[in-house]
Amino acid sequence: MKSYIERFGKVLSYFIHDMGEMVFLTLRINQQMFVKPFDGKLILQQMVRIGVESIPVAITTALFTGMVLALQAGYTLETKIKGVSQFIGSVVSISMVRELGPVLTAMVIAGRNGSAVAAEIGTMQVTEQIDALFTLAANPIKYLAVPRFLAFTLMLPLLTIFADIIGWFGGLLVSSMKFTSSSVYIDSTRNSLETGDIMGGIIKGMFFGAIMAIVACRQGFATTNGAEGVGKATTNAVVFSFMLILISDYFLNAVLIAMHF
Amino acid sequence: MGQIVKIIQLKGVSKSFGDRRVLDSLDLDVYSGETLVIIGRSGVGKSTILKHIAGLLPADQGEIWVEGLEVGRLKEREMNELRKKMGVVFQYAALFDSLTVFENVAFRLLRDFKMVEDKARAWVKEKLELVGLRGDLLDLKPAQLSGGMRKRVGLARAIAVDPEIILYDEPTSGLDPVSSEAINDLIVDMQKKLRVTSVVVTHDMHSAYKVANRIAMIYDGKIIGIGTPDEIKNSQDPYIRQFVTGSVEGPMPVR
Repeated sequence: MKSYIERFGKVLSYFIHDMGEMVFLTLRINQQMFVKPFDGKLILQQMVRIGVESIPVAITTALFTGMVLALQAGYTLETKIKGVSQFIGSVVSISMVRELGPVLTAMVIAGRNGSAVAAEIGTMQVTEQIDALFTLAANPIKYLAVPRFLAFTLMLPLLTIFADIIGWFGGLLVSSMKFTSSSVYIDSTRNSLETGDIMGGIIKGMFFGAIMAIVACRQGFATTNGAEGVGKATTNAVVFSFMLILISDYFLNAVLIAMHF
Repeated sequence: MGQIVKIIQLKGVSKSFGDRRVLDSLDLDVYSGETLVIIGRSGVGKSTILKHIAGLLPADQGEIWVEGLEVGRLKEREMNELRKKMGVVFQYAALFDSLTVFENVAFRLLRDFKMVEDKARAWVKEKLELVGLRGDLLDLKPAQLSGGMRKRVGLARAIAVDPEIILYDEPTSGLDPVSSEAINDLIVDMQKKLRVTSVVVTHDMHSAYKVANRIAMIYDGKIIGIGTPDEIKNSQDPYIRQFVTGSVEGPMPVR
């Protein structure tokens, strides 16, 4: 019994330590953001990597999510609640825009780019490239973390908007093939979807982007023990990002709903 | 060496990693223009000394002075000013994988000194020639280079802003004898051509004898002997004798 408590305490203390380190990293990133020189080229490079190069997987995810949503909503509304399939459009669009667009996009990008960032910075750490940056008068937080942080925080909302549109379109495809006409789907969307729904999703996307950037950079910088350590940092970056995205999602929703978004 | 100026001073420096005490109130002076080689077995804190001097790692106790400034007390901007006078050659070169040879060597020129690209390319070519590399490597990535070439590029990057001090971490480790000899020649050349002060960390005695003006042996967190290569070679200290002759027999336990 005691050993379980001990182990729980250990895990808890690691967790608190990690959270503290991440808060500290966030502060340092925000401070370094305004130090000259301004690394426009590096930020652009990261935006391409995170935004542009992620479009194919973001499209696939959103399209099939929208299609599945329409299928499930259509089945429920038609056979369980019976005869209310004209509301598919509102179910799909609101779930997509408020929840699945931002969250699933964030998950996919955390898996794709969060892991890559942790692996890249982790490798640089264990091969002394981070030390080399210091000796060349380039602060690694500024040179590595700031461009990634900005790119994640700016690109996630854009990818979310993209996912919203594609997902809604996927719903339209399935709904018009199996349940209602496309004009009913479009009308239903128009009648229920509000700007606040869309804005809320975009704000969440921004937060998720910031979270995964911080988690990935922190795991990268804290890497020790060579190749094994890089593997561990990469796994941790993805697992912690997923956890923090889901946990913060609940609280963000609570706040957004309280603010009438 | 006519004038004796202490350009680097370590005063009572201690450092522990966890429970393991690596440096134990260590004192060391490096004179202007000399090449000081620090020898000792693996894991005795040789590289830690370099990291202290380069300001990469804070000491637990003691003071580190470089060019009249105390490294531990400098603000980031002041430290970066000092780093303009200091080049570090890392054990495995630590070149940036994502950048080309040119971008690696020209890192500070482009970023801090805002040199235009054409001028920087000519400058980098000159530095590459100085370390015995051809200028046509400029647009290759580090992964396309051999270990020896990478080390040379690392050296070119370290000397890109004409430093007064160069710190070498195991410059010949992992290289074939010919490449090692070439690196040794380079270290001697740098001292002659650029009049730099060098601190070299190594356990390669051949290299140490070749490049050093003085050799310092570190054991158990302290400098146990310091002198010219001849003095070290002929030292009667049992620890130094064991190390320089590479013997299993002696006071140092073989772990």
